[in-house]
Amino acid sequence: MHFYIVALLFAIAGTFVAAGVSCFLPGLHVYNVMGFVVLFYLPFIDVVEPFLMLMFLAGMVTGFGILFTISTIYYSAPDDTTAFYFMPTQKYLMVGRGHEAAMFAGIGGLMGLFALVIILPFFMGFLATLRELVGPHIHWLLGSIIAFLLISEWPREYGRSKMHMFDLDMSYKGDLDKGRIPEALKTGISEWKKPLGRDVVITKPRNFEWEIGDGRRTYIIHETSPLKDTTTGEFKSPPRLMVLNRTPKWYRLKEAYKSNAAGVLTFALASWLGMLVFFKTMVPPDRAFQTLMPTFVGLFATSAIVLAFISRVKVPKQHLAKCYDLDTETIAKGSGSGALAGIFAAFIPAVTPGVSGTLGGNATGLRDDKIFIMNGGTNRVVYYVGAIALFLLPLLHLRRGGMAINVNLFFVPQTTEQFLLITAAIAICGFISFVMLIYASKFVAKLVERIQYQYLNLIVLCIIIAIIFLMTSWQGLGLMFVATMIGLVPVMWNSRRLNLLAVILVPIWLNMAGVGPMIAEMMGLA
Amino acid sequence: MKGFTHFLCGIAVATAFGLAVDAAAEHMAQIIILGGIFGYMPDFLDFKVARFLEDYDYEVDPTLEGDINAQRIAELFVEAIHKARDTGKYTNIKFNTMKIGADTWRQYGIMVDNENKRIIVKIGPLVTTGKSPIPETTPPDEEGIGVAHYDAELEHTYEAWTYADIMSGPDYGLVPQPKEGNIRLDFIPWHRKWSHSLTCGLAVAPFGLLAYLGISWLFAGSDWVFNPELAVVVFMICLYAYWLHVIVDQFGVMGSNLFPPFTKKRSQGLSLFHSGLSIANFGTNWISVAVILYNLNYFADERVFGTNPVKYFVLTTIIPLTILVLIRYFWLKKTRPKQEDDKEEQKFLEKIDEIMEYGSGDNV
Amino acid sequence: METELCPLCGSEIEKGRACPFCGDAPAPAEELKPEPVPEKKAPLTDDEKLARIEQAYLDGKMTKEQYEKNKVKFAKTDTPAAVPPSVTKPPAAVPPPVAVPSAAAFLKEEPAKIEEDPDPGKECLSCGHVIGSKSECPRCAAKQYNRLSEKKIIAISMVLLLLGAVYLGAAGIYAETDITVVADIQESDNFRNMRIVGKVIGVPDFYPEKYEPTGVLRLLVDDGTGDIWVRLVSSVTLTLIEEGRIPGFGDTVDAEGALFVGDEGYMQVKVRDKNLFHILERNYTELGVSDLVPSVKSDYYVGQLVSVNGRIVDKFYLDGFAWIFDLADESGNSISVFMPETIEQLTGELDVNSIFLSEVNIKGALEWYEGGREWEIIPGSTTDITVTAPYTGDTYLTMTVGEMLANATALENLYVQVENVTVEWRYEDWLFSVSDSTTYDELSIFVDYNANSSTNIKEGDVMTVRGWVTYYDSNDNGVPDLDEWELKIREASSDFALDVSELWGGN
Repeated sequence: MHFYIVALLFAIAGTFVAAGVSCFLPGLHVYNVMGFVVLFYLPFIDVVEPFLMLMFLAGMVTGFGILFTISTIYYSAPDDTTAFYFMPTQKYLMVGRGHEAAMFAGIGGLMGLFALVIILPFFMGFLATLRELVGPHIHWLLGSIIAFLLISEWPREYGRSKMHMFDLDMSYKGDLDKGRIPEALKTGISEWKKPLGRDVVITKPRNFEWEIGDGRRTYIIHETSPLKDTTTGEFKSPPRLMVLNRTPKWYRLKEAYKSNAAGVLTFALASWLGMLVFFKTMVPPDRAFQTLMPTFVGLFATSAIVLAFISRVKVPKQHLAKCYDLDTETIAKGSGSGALAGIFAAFIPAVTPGVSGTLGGNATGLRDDKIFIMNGGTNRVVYYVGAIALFLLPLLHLRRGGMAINVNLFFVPQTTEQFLLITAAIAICGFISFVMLIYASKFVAKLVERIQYQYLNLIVLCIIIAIIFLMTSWQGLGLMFVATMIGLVPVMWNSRRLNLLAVILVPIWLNMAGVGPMIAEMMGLA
Repeated sequence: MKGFTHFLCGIAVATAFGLAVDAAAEHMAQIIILGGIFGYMPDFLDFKVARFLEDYDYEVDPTLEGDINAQRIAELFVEAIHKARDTGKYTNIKFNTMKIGADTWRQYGIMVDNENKRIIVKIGPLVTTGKSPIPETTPPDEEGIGVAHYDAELEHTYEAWTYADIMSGPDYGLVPQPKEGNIRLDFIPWHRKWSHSLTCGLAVAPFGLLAYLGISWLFAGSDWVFNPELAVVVFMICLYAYWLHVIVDQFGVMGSNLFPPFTKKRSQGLSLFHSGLSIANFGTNWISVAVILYNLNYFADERVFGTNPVKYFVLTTIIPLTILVLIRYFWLKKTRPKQEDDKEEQKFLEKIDEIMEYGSGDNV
Repeated sequence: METELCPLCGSEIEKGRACPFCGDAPAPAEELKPEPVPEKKAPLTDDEKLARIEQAYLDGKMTKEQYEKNKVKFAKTDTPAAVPPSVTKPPAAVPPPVAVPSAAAFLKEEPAKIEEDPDPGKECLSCGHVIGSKSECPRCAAKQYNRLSEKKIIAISMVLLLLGAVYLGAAGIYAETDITVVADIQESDNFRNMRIVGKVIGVPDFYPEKYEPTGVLRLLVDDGTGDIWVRLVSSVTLTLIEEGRIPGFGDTVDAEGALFVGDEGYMQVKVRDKNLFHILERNYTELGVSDLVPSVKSDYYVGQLVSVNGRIVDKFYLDGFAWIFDLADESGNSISVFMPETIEQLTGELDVNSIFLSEVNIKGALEWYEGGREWEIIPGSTTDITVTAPYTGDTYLTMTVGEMLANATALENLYVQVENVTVEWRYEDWLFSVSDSTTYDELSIFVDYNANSSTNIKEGDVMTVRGWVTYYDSNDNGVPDLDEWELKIREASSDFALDVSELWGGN
């Protein structure tokens, strides 16, 4: 029992470390912190029992799972998992409901912990069977996910069928009504190098619109209504005559797919970056285990921070709610779909909560920002904490993600006792993290009010740069810079940020499909 | 159904082919992905291609104008109705959205109030791309409402607001029906006109085969060998996945035009549920996953569990889904008043769910 | 621009231009209209004039200034702000009031019953905006009823604590680690926790720390199915040293720790916790020297724990490595006792002087020494050699050199005194040979360092020698030849080799 108490204390210490990092060192991915901790632990492996270190890491991961929402919401520094619900939380922040948004995610995380602690142990046999069954097919599963992400992105534009050429003076309206074609109109059209031929006919097929055509081309003259200020009712400017050209169908498709093109570009760039990072050691060799860190930080955290900084957002006063706009149905829907998505992400390699959350949302057809945020919170906790639980689950011992890679350096799970201890730690640390979230969120909300948001962004950015430099030197900073530029593409061109996850999805998919080295060679990386 | 549901159904179809599963397990073949892609294809063709190729007789484009004039929009709609009435020809009208910023749109709603023979247009608040309203941006009623009366017999439509808010907006088709002496109002008339058909599946599937052949040749290079059996399997995966999408959509309310160019009209769906329903999607996904796992096990070199399909599906699908449906039924009975949705309402809701990425809002 | 008032309608119009309101301008020819609209001929009312003024402004026929001026003329004080007119409104009918149905009626269920709140200054519970008694905040759309309180959710989260306690209890039930069979251990078990129970089959290796009174202990443990190295980390070793629980050759140990697999399949179990290492009870077999000498390998097993009484009759120090003692019984049989320096480092220094020539009891494990084809005893600790009777001197048999050499084999390991013998050959003071008149053969005398012996011995000196009968196998044939027998003068003993003049206290 004495050992159990020591083990629990280690776990709780890990939770406090996670709280500190989440509140004061934003943008750091939990696996990077874990990597650092393991690096410092290994020389002392004979002094501290490995299982105690595992308990510390379990407490830390549980704490991160719940508390990292603070970093995402208040510092605009998401990671690849919180980027999924980053936008809705920012909306809440801008109406003073940042704390409530943090609690939505936290409650989602809490439900995720319940799911892990209560349900997971009883699914051991099923999960073991599933792993055996699905194991040889992971490669096409990943490929399917990539295919779905690409084809499911909606065009953000609507593909206008008319294009504005120039304006005609309102005084010509009378001429148009009389069926006369003003010279100014002919001249204007000629300047567009598509002059009207002979036998030009003018018609008025609709109110406020005339059509002028020569059989080959048709131009529309559209009379706008006067611009009015909808709040005061005052006229802002008089009506005008717009000369429009019908756009060809290919032009409409081109317009509509601008954002999709940006999405594909994002995907391609992220894939290229991922292949580079996987096949070439960009950072100092002794820190090679942290190669992905500057990449992820750049893609998700610093790009979001840069955007928040240049958009000069002013965060309003935050209201520290004591009760939350949530009902049982919302909690059930959000956490149910989040739990499924999280287990999916924990089970399948390379799939992160961002991807699984999108798929889960599609699969369950759920809407509403609250459900979205809660889904994200549950998803994240089930993914991270679930990875540890699955790692220790007897019959399964599933190794997934950075957590397993780090822990495997010094520990291999074996017994049921270990699993039960870890689960106990997860439950207890989960409670502690959740309570800490309530107070930490309130504290940071007040902090954010006092410090101007731009300064806060700048401080956060400096902290992140310092950490990246310390961990991965100049090379890592360079990598982070490139990743930041790529991370800004979807934001600037209004496409999905999810495409950035190609940085791990594509290399792992290609490797699993057996063509990774070939592609890398074609890219000149191997 | 949601896009992901169709995608997953397509994957399930692909896993029904032993050769494909074997190729995936032994040779890392990616054929199964084609099932998902072609399962999604009909909606892709409709919502991401066909909708941009339609030409409209009447078009509202507030972005071009820089403003939304509710009254003028209402009057334009009335004009379209009167034109269809007077000319006896099909007329369509499109309501484009108004983009204010990168993530901001001005919402406006359109309602066909057939009882009072009027069109009502109301300008709503600014919304984000996620359809969340931005507070305190709704104009006052006197500034933001337009009403116009029409003089024609419209076939009874379900009274609801449709919103032009994000991305591409809604559109209507006005179909004169001389026999009935009225004009039928079709919401998003281009939807499922030709894409959700069995003939289109036949036309599109060969492209899947060509893509597979091309990509496999690219990777294999000089070692490439044409495998006719596999090619047939690939073609069938693409075709059946496409067809399954069409068949699954028949369970909804809308139906589709199944054999263009030989048929012109959309068939009626079986109306078992409206396809945007959460439980319908979830249930279909569940069934798809169960089928996928069954197939993977069936075609595995070493099976992990028994292959009695009855036992398997009863345990993994029928029982859990029944429990879920019952829970939902009793939950709804307890928490919500009884709603009698008529067919028109269901059809409308189905279309709304299909066209709107994030579902319909209720801000107006 | 010069303006004037229209004489018909009074509108301010541009001087010289036709009034657009009164219809005195010529009708436009072939005007394009989308559909014919019936014209109204009735006289214009003020409202209609106002409408026309507004239309004129919309049509660009009037500047804003003019519009404002004319508006004032015809606008009534109680008339609301002008609304742009509709051109397709039915001219006579007034549209019925716009009763905009709520979308909620069609698309969603009715909200739950709202709790009444008479407080008009009430703030939204989510964003803090003042909303009064509204059930939904108009600013953030948050519901003000049926909300989840902070206290409630903390109470729910406490269930996790309870679950944690349950799992802790369950962990206790599963606490015992199963014993691992060495033969089943694979390289893929790297880092797995192992519990090995077996016999230590070699002398433990000790790697001391440079500046600490501890080090790493390494044992080879055989559980009957195979052997594996067990490594005790410094902290564990220190504890064992302090508690005097050093495992020795032949001990049965229970060790639990993680398996480490090194290069070329080297495996060891690393014990990091002192509570996870136990030496199981030691059971010694009481044997005599004669039971062990002579014997064959099959008589006993390697590692068998034995307790043997005898007398340490000889000692030999392998510098920096080990002490080797000869333990003999009364019949002269002797067995080697091997005490590695490691044991001294771990269990304390051995007082060699106190045990040499004394009667002792030695506890240790049997090791088969292939070179000599004989058993040897390896104690587990310096405390395993206990003096049962300290050396007080030996009893010597007095005889001639001839008698001694004739019965050398029988006298081996016994103590003999030869008197008045002459030094026949001298190598050094510590090695010379003597003889007497009873034989032509010579008896070698070997003097230990610090033994009681004369110095400056010369050939021809007459001496009395008493010592321990042994032989030095110079040709390594395993059999003592006549000229290989010697009397050994042992240090710290009653042996001596003295010139007769010294014997009785002479110079």
